[in-house]
Amino acid sequence: MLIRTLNCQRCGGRTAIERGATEALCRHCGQPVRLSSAVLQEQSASAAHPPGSDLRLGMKGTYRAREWEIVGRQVFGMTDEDGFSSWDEWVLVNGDGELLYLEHDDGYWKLSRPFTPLTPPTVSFLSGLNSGDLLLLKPGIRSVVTDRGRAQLIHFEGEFPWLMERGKLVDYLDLRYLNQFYCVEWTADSLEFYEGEFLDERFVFNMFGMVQRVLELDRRATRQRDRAVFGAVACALGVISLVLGVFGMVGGAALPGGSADVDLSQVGPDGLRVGPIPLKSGGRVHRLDVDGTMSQSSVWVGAVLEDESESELVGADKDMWDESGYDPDGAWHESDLHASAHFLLKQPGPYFVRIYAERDPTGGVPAYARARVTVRQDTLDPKPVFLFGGGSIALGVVMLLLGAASKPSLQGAEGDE
Amino acid sequence: METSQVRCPSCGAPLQLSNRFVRMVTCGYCGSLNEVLPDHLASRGKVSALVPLPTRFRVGQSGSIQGQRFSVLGRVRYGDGDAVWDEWLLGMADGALAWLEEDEGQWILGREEPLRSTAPPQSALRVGERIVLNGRSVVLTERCTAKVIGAEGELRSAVTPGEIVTFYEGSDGEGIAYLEYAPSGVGAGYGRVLARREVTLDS
Repeated sequence: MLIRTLNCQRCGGRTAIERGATEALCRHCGQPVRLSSAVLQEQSASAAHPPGSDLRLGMKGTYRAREWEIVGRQVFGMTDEDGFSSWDEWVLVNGDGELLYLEHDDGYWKLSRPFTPLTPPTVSFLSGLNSGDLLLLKPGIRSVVTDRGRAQLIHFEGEFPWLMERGKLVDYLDLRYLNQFYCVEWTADSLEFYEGEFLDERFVFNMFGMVQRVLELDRRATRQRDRAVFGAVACALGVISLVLGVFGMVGGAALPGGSADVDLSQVGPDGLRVGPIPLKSGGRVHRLDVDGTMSQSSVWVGAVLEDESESELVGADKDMWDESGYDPDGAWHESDLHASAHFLLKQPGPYFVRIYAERDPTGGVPAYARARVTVRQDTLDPKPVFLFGGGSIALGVVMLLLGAASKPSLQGAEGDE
Repeated sequence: METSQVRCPSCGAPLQLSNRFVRMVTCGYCGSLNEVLPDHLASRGKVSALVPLPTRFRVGQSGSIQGQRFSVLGRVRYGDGDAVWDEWLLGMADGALAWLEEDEGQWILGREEPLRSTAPPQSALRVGERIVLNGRSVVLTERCTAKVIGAEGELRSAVTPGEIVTFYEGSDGEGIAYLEYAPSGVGAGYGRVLARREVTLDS
């Protein structure tokens, strides 16, 4: 298997060197062509810097109706406050010798080519730019500096139409204008300007005919979509559960033996105790309702739930009133005859309701004034409903986040903006 | 285009001179490199046959650039470590000569210009700094030292295989200015990047 082609130092022709061999004769002029120690080191270094993607040297792809071949890979690395990071830069060439650079950094893809800026800035000017500064590189395009740094060429393999120098330090500025990105790189020997576009991973795999990877992406996208749908349904279910739970607490049917009708005129200063009312569901929400019946009068009515030892647990009271009359619009009638209180029953057992009634210090309670006390229990046990609702929402949010985590944003690709 | 026929001083093979500004011509039969003097050719050694590299150009190729006809007269091959590239000498329809350089995938068409002032010493040139070159304010964008590997066809100036040449390139925003420091002297020129659609090659 051919592992490398080298240019003959005498005639410039290309000669392939077989795997395991360190030299060969130039097939054009016969001059010995040897792998230098640097090249041998490069081969071992290649294993230490595996590509971060499935791209490989020699792969061919189609971009803008032209065929491009991957002829080289550069690996750059840099250390910043987040630690050490490295990325691949693939060199693509077409039949006309045009070059493209395909950068792959942690799932982000950028394709670029060199260009000549409107007014080339000097290195001293570039060195003074920081994130957020504007730079006019093309007519009417004020690109924004999104990142700057110094990268080191830590590895390379393949063929390059320029001299490669391992360890070379490259200062760079990344800039962006809408969906276009620009990059300025400089060393002691070169000052280069690149422009390009962000590529989606699927586009890159399609470009190089990597059908399996495209199918994997499709499957992943389907999984993400399913997760998002599941998450949305779970969230909706959770919200419905919580609403049902709340309504279940406030609603509820009267318990057997849980209501009593009292003639308020018979209520003495110490109240009138009715019961026992058997309450059996400890841990559930109950409601004490008081509904008055009267006409053209007002009475303060109170109801207190007591246990067997007459300890007060919860109370509900209100100044109830009822009025009616005539005015130019005709007869009218208004009243406010209801009071209630929710409580969480801790212990099941027999309970009582003590009813109080006062009209005012001077008058008595009219004989026709009555009140009906009712103890109701919630229709739904709120604990499992709330647990289910809360769990559904939590699960739904997690699934929505997982569903949204499939595609890295361009914002993240720009470094510390 | 009018051409004149001469004979190789080494092997007697017929050689063709297509442009009055040509100063060197190689013999495709014996590989000799010959300097064009007013009244004869003088052999200046031999060059190896250049192995074809991926390119759309060849000596003898004709075509048009922005509608102006040209033919490829010759090329010089440079090497820089593992890297090898060609610079093609074009004879334009108006009789002038131009260089077409294939530089990292870009085609750059340049024409020589006489230096209007003394060439700056190399020690004064730094990539990334602005200089004034032939009246243009340019920022130096590249410095490259390379060896002449070989040549083919007709050439504008004397080249010697093995000689070291240092190139400087700069940009003024519209075109590319260059300086070339060779043992024979300092050359200067100005050119621009060609879009592929500007070049039509005859089949």
